[in-house]
Amino acid sequence: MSRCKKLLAVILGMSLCLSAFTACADGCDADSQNGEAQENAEDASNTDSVDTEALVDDSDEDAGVEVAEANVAIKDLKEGDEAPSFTAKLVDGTEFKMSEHKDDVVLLNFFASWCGPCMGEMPAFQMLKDDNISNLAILCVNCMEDKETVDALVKDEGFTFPIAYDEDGAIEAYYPTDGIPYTLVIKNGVIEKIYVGAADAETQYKEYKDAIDACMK
Amino acid sequence: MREHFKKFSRRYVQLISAVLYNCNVKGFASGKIWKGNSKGMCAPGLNCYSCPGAVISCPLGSLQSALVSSKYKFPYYVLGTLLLMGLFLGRFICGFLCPFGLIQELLHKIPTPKLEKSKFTRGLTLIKYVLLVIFAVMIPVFIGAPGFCKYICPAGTLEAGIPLTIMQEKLRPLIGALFSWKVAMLIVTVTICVFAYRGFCRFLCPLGAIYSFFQPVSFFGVQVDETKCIHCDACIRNCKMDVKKVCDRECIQCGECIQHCPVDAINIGVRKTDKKKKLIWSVVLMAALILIVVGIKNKGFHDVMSKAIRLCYECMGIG
Repeated sequence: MSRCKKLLAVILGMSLCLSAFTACADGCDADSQNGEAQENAEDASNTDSVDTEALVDDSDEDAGVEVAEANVAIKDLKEGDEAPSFTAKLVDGTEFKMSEHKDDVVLLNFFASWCGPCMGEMPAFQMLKDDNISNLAILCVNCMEDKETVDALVKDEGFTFPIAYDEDGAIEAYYPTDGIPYTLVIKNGVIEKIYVGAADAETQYKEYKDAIDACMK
Repeated sequence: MREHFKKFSRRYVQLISAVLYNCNVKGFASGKIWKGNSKGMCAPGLNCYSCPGAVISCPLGSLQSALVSSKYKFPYYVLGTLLLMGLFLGRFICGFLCPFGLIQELLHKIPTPKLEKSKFTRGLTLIKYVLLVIFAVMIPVFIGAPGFCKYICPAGTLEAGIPLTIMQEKLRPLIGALFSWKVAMLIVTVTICVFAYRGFCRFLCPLGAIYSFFQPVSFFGVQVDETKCIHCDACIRNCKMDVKKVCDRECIQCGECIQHCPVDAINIGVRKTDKKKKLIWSVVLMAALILIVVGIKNKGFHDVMSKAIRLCYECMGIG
């Protein structure tokens, strides 16, 4: 029994150390993953309160994500708030700059391949893209999956609407959310509608279409 | 005091594990989940990672999430972790390191008539293998939903669904038929556990089913000294689980049989094994380590973390 107790003590000691180490390594900050981007955003807002240039994180260039034009402090967003600016690299090799869509309605979605409800509503974005609505920009931002996974997903599903990489969560840091799918309808740079979670593609298509039509009026 | 600790040592270990898994006290106060890197690690026991206090991932939830996207990336890291934990501890995890096991044991203390173990209850233990195959593997792979978390897991409803929908107003509009179903599943599970010792663990838990495969070879656990054993079956008669012999697939290695053995033939600790078992153990260990290394190189740790730092609406029954 003494041998057993020693082993139990070792197992517990190890798990305690591991938990304490990993927990404290994160600075005991629940939003630590957003820390870098948050600092960037705060730096940007301090140095240029009117309009800032792109903040490019060199280490992220290969990853294909650039944090850009941040002039809004990071916070939980609500309807009526200004939509934070960013630049994202898309699967097709082009870039999406939020600042270039000030006069458009933007449908911004955050998703991942492992998220059932996210994948379930993706056909809704394809239907909206196929509708060819003028002055509507659609962007689906993948949450922290690697480039290869996103490329394989897009190829496999045959999506033609804009999909962005966000391997390190830099874009998501500007749009903090507890869960995905998370979708925002943005008009003239202001958040008009926020959707948390999703039903099936047909229902979501109708929801988004109605919100977009309301914004277009 | 020493006697008290000796008698309740397992309970203390269970309690410490539950606290370790859920030490984000701030999360319980704010209704926000932990978003640190520690969520890239899988806990040994069943503990929903959408629980506001959870600082570590649920291995069953991580496995299902990984299987949902397995056509894009094979879940080396999660499989390797499960293999390693099973190989070292087997169902010792169920007995000592599972917070939901502790909850079930406390529920069973409510004074009511109790369901005795029988051939019928032994038969019911096979349900968990069916749930493992259908809900934890096939539905995630072929339908793209974490089947067990979404439709059955009472831990997700208890630890995440109910507290978070109470604390976060924006989640309440998402409540629908699925949430009602999950609450009903929780009520059924609680009722089973009040009347049957560790009812969920015995009949329904796919994680217990996974760990049961490692029982014959696990490094640590209960074992019988055959040279001392007089085959009186006192251990089997006094065990509350549906065991046919000590350390079979249903044994959670709680060690309670030790005190009932008249010849002191049962002990708990590092097992003595023959050459054949040592060989199997070494091969499985190598396989587990290779899977973990390949998985980490393949960003498996990052993938588990990136899933667990977000609320799983499906696990909570509101997706």
